[in-house]
Amino acid sequence: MTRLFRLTSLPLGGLLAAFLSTGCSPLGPTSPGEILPNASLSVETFNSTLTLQGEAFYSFTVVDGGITYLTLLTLKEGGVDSQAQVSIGLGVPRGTSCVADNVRGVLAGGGVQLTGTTNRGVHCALVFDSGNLTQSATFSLNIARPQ
Amino acid sequence: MTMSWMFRVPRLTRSLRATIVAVAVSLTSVACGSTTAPTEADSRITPVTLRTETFAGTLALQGSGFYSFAVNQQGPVSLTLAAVQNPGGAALSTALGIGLGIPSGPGCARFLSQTTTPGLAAQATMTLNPGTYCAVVFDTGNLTGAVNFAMRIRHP
Repeated sequence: MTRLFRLTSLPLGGLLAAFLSTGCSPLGPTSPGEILPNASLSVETFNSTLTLQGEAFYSFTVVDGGITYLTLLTLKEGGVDSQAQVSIGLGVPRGTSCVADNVRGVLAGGGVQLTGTTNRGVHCALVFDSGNLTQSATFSLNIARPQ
Repeated sequence: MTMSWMFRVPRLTRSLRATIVAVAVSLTSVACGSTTAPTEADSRITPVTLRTETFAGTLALQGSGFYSFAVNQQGPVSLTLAAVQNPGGAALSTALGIGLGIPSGPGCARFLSQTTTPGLAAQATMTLNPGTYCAVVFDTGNLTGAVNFAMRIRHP
């Protein structure tokens, strides 16, 4: 039995390792060129403009609960890549805004910057300037979420 | 003396037993009554608590705006475009578009919309299930400039 188990588990482990190493993780893209949705995640890109001290949000509906991953892919001030820190968050749309209870300051680029549990329902991804921008900025936020 | 006492005991016991049985039957009947399934008439009584939110702002020429809210139980949602004013504060009777939808992307995906002039009575009503929805106001082409508006949203 042990031998049989070993024989059958080795290929499964190899397949799993191969699956993960090919970038099919549920973490979504880490750069504009790496949009890798898998079967259980939907990936949307929120492109908009952030005014000084302003905010912008994007709503989405989750049918099956799970983890949502946010990545600020790009931030440009005056058309130039910006190193300013802005805040991103996950919440629910209420009133004329997105009420976020999960917020953190981030720089554009790199890997997943914020994760949060999103149950069945309507949620929103929020981007706002906490005072670091010197002028209006365009941004691109990646939202990898359960379907 | 002893015999008399010995005979009384069974009689008292029988009396107590009878009392206990009567009380038990009474309690059982009360308990059964309280666990009876609701009648059809009872099940129709579903108190719905409504709350009112006000969505006020400025609507740009050809613009739109939306306001998100949570419906906590199934019930009627009504929208009242209460006022439209020019930037100076003068009341206007200009017709605007109003509607209900679900927040989606950067906007509100409408599933109900109509054009209406401002008034005191609700202009749009729909029964909705629990969830997050949005009320939207938009220019249908009647505006010649920005206006201020106030909309009442009444929902469970």
